[in-house]
Amino acid sequence: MTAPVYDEARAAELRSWYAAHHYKCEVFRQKLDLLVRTELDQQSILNARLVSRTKTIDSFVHKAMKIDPRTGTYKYDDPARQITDLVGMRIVMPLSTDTQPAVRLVQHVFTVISHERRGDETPELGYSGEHLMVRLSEDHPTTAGLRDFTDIEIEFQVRAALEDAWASLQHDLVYKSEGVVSIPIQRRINALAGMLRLADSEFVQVRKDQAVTAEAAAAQEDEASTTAAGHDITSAALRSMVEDVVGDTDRVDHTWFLQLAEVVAQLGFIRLADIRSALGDAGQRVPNVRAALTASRPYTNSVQIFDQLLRLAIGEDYFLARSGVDAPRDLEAARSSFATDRAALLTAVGTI
Amino acid sequence: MDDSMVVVVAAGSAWPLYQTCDAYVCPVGRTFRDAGRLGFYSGRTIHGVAARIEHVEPSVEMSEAEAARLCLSLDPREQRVGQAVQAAVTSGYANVSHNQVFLLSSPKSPATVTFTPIRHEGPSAWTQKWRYRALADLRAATTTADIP
Repeated sequence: MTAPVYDEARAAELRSWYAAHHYKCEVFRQKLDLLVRTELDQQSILNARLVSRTKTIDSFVHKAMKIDPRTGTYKYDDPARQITDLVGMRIVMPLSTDTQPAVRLVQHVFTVISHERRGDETPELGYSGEHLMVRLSEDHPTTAGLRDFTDIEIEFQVRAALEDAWASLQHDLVYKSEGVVSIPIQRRINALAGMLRLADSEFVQVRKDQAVTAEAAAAQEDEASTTAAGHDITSAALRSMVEDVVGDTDRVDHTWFLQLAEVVAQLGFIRLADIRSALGDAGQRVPNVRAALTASRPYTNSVQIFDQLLRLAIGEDYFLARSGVDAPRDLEAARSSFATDRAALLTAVGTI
Repeated sequence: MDDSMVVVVAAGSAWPLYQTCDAYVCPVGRTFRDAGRLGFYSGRTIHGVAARIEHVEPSVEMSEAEAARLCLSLDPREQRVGQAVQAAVTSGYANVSHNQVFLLSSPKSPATVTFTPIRHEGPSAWTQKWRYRALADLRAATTTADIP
């Protein structure tokens, strides 16, 4: 069977259709990007790199005009319905052991149409990653504002960083060769996939070993601190307290707890019990405070929430104590801002 | 700074970042003449906001430690810069040690001018870096072809 002659009219019709549809896809992509970033932060899936894209018009037409070499006819006889990767999201996590929380997030927020784990189906080395085709869930509250886009399917890819690096380079090489790559070259490319998988496994082990070392160091620090005049505030102890009061500290970088230790030192606290006493009932307001803060600042973490609880509970004395140690550039503006923000948060969460 | 002049930046990642933290993060050293407002172009659209540039921090360390220091500060400006650093670092937007941070008026602020988003119909991107346009011209345009 001979391949059809390039049908300019078909290409023009497809281009026109997608040109009319593309804007909606792009608006959806931007809203989806913000939604997914917010959800990643809400679930404390930090260190995720999110890449999103809307298929370009040229790319859509190129794909829609592809010929199936087996049949000699168009691969897609109804491209508008059959080409489903108009909006693509890729979540790249540092290591392969980090990908499952991101996959579960996608499964939780969206309605999954199909889910494929690529790379495990054969012993041969090569591409690996999780592919999910999804659409908006009618049940999930975060998608309530996107009802106009329920007809658009979304392709999610979830990969580890080294898987992503290999896939990007391999795609670049194969795409530039227009799909013609010799077997020896392909073998070498696939062997590199194996090397990167080994590297990923090694990084996983290094991370585990580092965690063990850090725990041991923190335990030693705690022991040393508690023996010195009853002072028991350390960054590790603060992490435990914040976990107890607010939760979700797993992926908060340790430098935030070092900074929190500076804050409580400026406030004059030397014992954890004094901090708990100052907080009083403020801990009961955590859900309200979290909701109020993340509504406008989706990246807010548990240390920031804890700090806001201290500001709410201690009031103006919080400002006086800290500014006495480290005065802001414009003291009056800072004082006014502190009072305004505190009042707004109290209105949002109720009196403490 | 000239409030009637808008620098419209290519904003694939910058537009979602602005919506998250009312800021624009870019390489150190980039200057935008005396434009008093910043707009965003992505997805073949000049988005319908011209945010006022409220403050520019010329070089900010892009790290969790610096984000923590700034976010927990008493200084409201440092808090805003910190939130921009936090958003940039968390979202993977920042891949260098230091960036410049522009604090912008929020989308709903009275200082922000809004207008109907402007479609770009041309074969290639309207800008891949940035372009300067008068605010009045953006407010009057329906497509980029209407902008002088």
